[in-house]
Amino acid sequence: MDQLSRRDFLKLLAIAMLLNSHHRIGGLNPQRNEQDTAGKKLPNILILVFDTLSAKHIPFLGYNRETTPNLASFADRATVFHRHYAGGNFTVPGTASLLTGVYPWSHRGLHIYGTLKPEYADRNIFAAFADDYFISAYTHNALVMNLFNQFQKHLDQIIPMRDLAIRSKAVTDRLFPKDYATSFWAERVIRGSGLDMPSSLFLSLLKVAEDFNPDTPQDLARTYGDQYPHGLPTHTVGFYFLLEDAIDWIKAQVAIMPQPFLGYYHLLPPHEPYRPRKEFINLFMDGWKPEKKPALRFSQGKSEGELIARRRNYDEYLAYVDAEFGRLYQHLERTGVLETTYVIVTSDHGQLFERGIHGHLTSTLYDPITNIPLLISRPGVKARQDIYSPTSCVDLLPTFLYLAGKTIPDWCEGQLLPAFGNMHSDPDRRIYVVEAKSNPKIGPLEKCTLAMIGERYKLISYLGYGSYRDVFELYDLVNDPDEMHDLSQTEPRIAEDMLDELAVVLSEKKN
Amino acid sequence: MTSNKSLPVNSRALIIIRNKWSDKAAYFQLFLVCSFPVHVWAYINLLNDMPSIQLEMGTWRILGVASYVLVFAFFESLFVFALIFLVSILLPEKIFGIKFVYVGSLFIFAATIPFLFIHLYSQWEIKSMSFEYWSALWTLIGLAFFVFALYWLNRSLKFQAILQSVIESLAVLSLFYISLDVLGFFLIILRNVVVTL
Repeated sequence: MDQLSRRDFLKLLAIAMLLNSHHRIGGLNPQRNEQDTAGKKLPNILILVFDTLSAKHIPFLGYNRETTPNLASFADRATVFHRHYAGGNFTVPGTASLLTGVYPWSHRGLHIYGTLKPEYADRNIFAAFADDYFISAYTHNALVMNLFNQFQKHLDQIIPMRDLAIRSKAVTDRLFPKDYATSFWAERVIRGSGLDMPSSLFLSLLKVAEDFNPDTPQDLARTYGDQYPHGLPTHTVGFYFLLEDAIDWIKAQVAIMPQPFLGYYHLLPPHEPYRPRKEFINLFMDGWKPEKKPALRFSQGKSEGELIARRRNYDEYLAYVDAEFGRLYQHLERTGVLETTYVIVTSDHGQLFERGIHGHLTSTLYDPITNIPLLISRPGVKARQDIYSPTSCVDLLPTFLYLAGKTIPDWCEGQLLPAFGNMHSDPDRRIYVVEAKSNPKIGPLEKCTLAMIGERYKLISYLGYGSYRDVFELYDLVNDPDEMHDLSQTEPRIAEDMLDELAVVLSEKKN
Repeated sequence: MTSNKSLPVNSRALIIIRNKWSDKAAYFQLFLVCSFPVHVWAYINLLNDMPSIQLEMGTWRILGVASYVLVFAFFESLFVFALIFLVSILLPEKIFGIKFVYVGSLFIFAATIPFLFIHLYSQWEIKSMSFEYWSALWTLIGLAFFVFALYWLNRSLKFQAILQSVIESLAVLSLFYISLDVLGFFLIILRNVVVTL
C-alpha cells in the first residue's frame, strides 16, 4: 500500500511539475508544433543515461556475467553500438560531450565541478531542439545539474534533484539560484568532498560522521534498511534516493509531456557506492575472476582481491539497475511509447576494476572506463542491428538533428552515427577521449591524457605528468580487446604516426 | 540585593542574561575568540582547494567562492558563540561568572582539539583505529585539556595573564578576518542581486 501511495504520489508530482513548467515557460515556444517543415510528424526523443555504466560489464557486449537481461531484451529491437566511446572518463567531460556534440578540448568541461565555455550555453542538444520540442531534464548527479544550470534557458522543464530524492541536504540551488555554479562549488568546499576536508570546522562534523558510517542515517535506515541492507543509493552532500522513484516518475512523465518531447534523464546508478536492493546482493557469488591486467600507470595499489570484490558489488548494483530499466522498458512497450519515440540508453563514462585501480577518477583511459553502451531504439522498428565501427558520444547531437530534419551546425565535432543517415562508416575516422582535469580550463592542453581510437588501434598518450611525462601506449583492439599487450615498443611506426596525427589535432585545439 | 534563587526559573534566566549581556565588550571578545579557529580552518581548507579552483575559474568567481566560504565561517562562529552563551546561562555562575571570557575561550580551544583531529582522520588515512575510537580519544584529550586549563585558571594569576594576552592577540586577528567576511557578504549580494557573471 505504501509503495502504491508512493508511486501515485510520483505520478501526481510529474503532473504538478509539468503544470509548473508550463507556467514557467509562459509561451516560450509558441511556434512549437508536432510536424517538421516537410510535414512529417516529429519523433519524440528519450535519452536515458545511467551514470558510470561500462560497456565492458554488459553480457551482449562481451561480459561474462548476466548482469543485464532486460537491456538485452531492449537490444533485440535496437541498434547496438559495440565500440561506442565517452568524451571523457568522468561525469563532466563525458556528459558535456554528449550534450554539446564536441570533445572536452572544445567545450572545456574539464574539471570535476566544472562548467563549459559560455558559448556552449547555446550550443547544445537542448538549444538545438528548443524551437519545436518540449525539453525536459532530470538528474541525480549534482555535477550534471551544474551543466543543466548553464543550459537552463533552453529547458522547458528542469526538475530539482531533491524532488525525486528521499533526502537532499544541498542548499545552494535554493539560496543562490542566480549564482549556482559558484555557490555550488563553495558548498562543496564548506562541506568537503570526501577527498578534501570541509572548510567548516564544527558544523561539518555531522557530514564527517556520516562519511564514516557505512549505513544511511538512522531514520532512513529504519525505514529502508530491510530493502537496502547496504544502505540507500547516495551521492555527495547527503543526497539519498531510490532509483525506483525516478523510474516511476519517468513512466508518468512520458505519458503527460507535450509531444514532440526531448527528455534527458541522467540517473546516478550504477555509480558507486554500490547499493543494490536486497534481492541483488550476492547475486554473483560465482567465484569468477577476470584475467589480471598489467598495472602500467597511475595504479592506486588496490589488491586483486579488493578489485574482484568491488567488481562483484558493481555487477550486482548493475543487475538492480537493469531490473529497474526493465520496468521502464516494459511500460514503454506496453503503452506504445516505443512506436513514437527514439529511446536511447547510454552512459557518461565507465568504471575500472583492474591494474590496481578502482573507479573513474583516474588519469588513465583504458576501455572499461571509456567504452560505454549505446543502444538506440527507433520508433516502430523491432529488429536488432549491430554496429562494430568506433563511434563517439559527440555523434548523438548531429544524428538527432539529422533525424529531426534540422541543420547540423558547423561547430559540431561529431558525425552521423552509422545506420542513422551515415550508411558507410569511415575506416579512417578517429575517435577521441580527453582527460584533462589537471589542466587549466583556458589555454592549451599540456597536462592531460588523450586516447585516439581508430578502426583497429588505440593510442593512449600521457602528456605533461611529472612521473609519466610524454609516454604512450598502443593497443590493437581488434586482436586484443582487453588491452593486455602494449604495442608501443613493438609497433613504433604505427604509434609514431598516430602520435603525429594527435599532435596536429591538439595544435588546432589550443583555446 | 535579592538572591536569584528565590525567583522563578524563567525570571532567573532573564536576570542572568541581562547581567551577562551587560558586559558587551566581554561578549564581543569571546565572539572574536570563537571566530579564530573557525576562520583559520576555513582559510586553510580554502587555500588547500585553491589549486583546483584556479584551474577552473577566473578571479571574479574565485572571489565568489571565497566569499561564500568566509560568510559561512562568520555564521558558524556566531553559532558556536551562541552555544557557549547558552551554556553560560545554564551553568552556575561560579563556573562561568566573571571569568566568562577566559572559561569560554578555554572551552573553544578545548573543543577545537577533537574537531580538528576528527577531520584529520581521513586526511591522515588512520587505519590502526576506528573512527569512533579516534573521535572518543580526541574528545577525551580535549576534555582533559579543558579541565587542566580550568584548574590553572583558578590557581594561577600568571596563567590568567598569559590567557588574556592570547585572547587579545587572537581578537585582533579575528577582527581582520571578520572585516573580510563583511566584504565577502557584499560580494555575495553583488553576485546574486546586481550582476551574475
